[in-house]
Amino acid sequence: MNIEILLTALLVALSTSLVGVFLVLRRLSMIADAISHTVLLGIVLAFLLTRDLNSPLLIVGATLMGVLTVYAIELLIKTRNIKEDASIGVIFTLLFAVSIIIINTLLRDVHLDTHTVLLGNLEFVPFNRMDIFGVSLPAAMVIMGVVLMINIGFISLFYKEVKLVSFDTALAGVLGFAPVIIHYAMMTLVSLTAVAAFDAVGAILVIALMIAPPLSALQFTKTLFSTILLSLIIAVFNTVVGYAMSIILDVTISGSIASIALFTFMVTLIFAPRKGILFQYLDHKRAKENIMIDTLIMHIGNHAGSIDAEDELGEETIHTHMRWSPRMMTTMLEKARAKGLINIENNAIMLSNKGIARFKTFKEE
Amino acid sequence: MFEFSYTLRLVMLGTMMLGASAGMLGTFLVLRRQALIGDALSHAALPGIMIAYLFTGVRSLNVLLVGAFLAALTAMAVLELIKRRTRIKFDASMALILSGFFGVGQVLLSHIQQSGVASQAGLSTFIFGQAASMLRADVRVIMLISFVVVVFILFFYKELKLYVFDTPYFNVAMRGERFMSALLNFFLVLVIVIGIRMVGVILMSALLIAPSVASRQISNRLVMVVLLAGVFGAVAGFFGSLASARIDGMPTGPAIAVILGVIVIVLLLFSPRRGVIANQIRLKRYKRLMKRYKPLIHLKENSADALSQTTLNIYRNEGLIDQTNHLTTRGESLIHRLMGGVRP
Repeated sequence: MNIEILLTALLVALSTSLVGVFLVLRRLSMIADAISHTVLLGIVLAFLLTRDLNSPLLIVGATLMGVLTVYAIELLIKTRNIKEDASIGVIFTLLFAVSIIIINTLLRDVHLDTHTVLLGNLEFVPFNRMDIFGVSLPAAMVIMGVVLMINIGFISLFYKEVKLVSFDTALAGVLGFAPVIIHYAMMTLVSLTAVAAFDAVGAILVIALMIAPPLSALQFTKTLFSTILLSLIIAVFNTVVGYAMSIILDVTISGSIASIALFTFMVTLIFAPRKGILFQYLDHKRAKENIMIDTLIMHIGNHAGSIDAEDELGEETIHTHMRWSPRMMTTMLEKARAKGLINIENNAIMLSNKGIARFKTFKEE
Repeated sequence: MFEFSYTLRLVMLGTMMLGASAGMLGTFLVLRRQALIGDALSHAALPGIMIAYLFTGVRSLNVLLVGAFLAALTAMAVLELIKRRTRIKFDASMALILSGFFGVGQVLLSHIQQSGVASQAGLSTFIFGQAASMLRADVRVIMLISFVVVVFILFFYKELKLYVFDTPYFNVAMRGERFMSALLNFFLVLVIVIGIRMVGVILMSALLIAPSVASRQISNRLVMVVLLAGVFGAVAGFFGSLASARIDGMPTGPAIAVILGVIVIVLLLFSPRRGVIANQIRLKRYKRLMKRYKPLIHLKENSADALSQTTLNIYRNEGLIDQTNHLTTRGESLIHRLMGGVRP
């Protein structure tokens, strides 16, 4: 285990999930996916200019390219000849393809391997070092630390503005909060974060780190602040477990973290209280049963004491009148009796006192 | 330049067939505003390839593609589950499935590489695709699947049309929304699976989206849009493979994607019917006409008192008003046209 790698991974996870919350809330997840691919073109172009893989210009160029991507996508949508999803698909594939072509033709001798680009290489983080105040630290760790600071700084400084723009862009505009500027500032942060995380986790897996923790957190939370906090916690959890898994199974670190992120989400998707699929299913089933029992009580109440009561309310014949299957009928009668709403004597079904009271409330409604 | 070797002819045939079938099928995705689902599914196919390899130990393309197919179908099912059972936004769940499945694929790939099996080389080519190494048997699979896809579109054309343009009505008339969507997704996954072998998981979306976006700029009729999308896809496949064969180091998939992207942008700008430039010209002309004939519009419901004699003379010379300063039929029709706004 290498503490530097784990720390870098944690910094990546925290900064990506922090911006991710807003991506999810503002339905910009696929735009972020586009950005994470097109920053490669920025890196490649900046490299063609500087010929130095460690130049800070690479980060600047790539961040700009991410913002430019967002602008280009919006420009295409504005022509009204192309919808948002298609425009994302056209722009990011075009820009990404151009960068792959440049890498394969002009930069064949340079260490800009297309695989590291997509997958990143947390394993190599400790080898590329820089000195900060006399302390030797991995470069990726320093860069990620700075980016995390910038993200935290921006979001805490403009918390109110960002929140308003995320939930009600129109109102933000009316109140003079300049939603367009806030939007582009956020997109710059996303772009910067994607660029910084590029070396560590690559273009595709960074999306899992951005989107998965907020999506998992949103299964539990209702306020923005608690969503942010919980997604940071989940991000840390995913990273630590993912890192441990990668060591135990001797597999890629970034891939493990992304896999665990997906796994955590699937677990919350199914088992979260209230919003989870399992809970919703049980809730739905219970509601359906209650309605069926109420229908049954209505039927019994309406026919009690009438001439055809013997047939309508016979234990053997009632299912033909309710139009339920005999099996369903038996189950429902059983449940209604368990709740003390009906009594069955000599094959005749009658409402209990409790049942009569319930029937009367329906009548009043 | 135009003498093609056997391999190149093979690659061209494959990419053209793939481009055509992906372009045609993609039309329906784009119209349903689900263009990016192809991106999600192609990434999600990756773990399937690795699992198929782990289980069988063979690198036969067909076996791996079955794995890819199953993984993409699984991803599809998860996406549908999230869509139907939760209120999570579709784009977020797509992004998550995309990169999460890809991450699982990476873990499996690195596991295979760690175990150091000799025949594992080449598994990673699925990320970028490798059209140049196509064999006759591969092309045969591609031809078969493309053929099936085209037959599907022809056979279900009427249903597909109704389904993408008016799903609620389709539901009333045919009662098969889920069936139709499952069928469409099934063929989508088929095309994606053959596509990732050639152009890779990332650029597969270019093949699905760009052709129909381009053809949409030219025509408003679905049948034309579908056919032209097929043509654009095939053209990009042809020139992409050609560029890849003639230029040193040029990868096929990115070449095709760039050609498609350029076609889209050129048509968005220059399409005569709805291109950006044509629209600008029309708007300019309309503004000029409005400026010139604003007094004429005033004349329709008011007396000629407010108009200068020069203006009236001009209109009279153009035959828009008669000697008594009343609108002629020609003047009326001009006003009618102007009030209708900017028209193509």
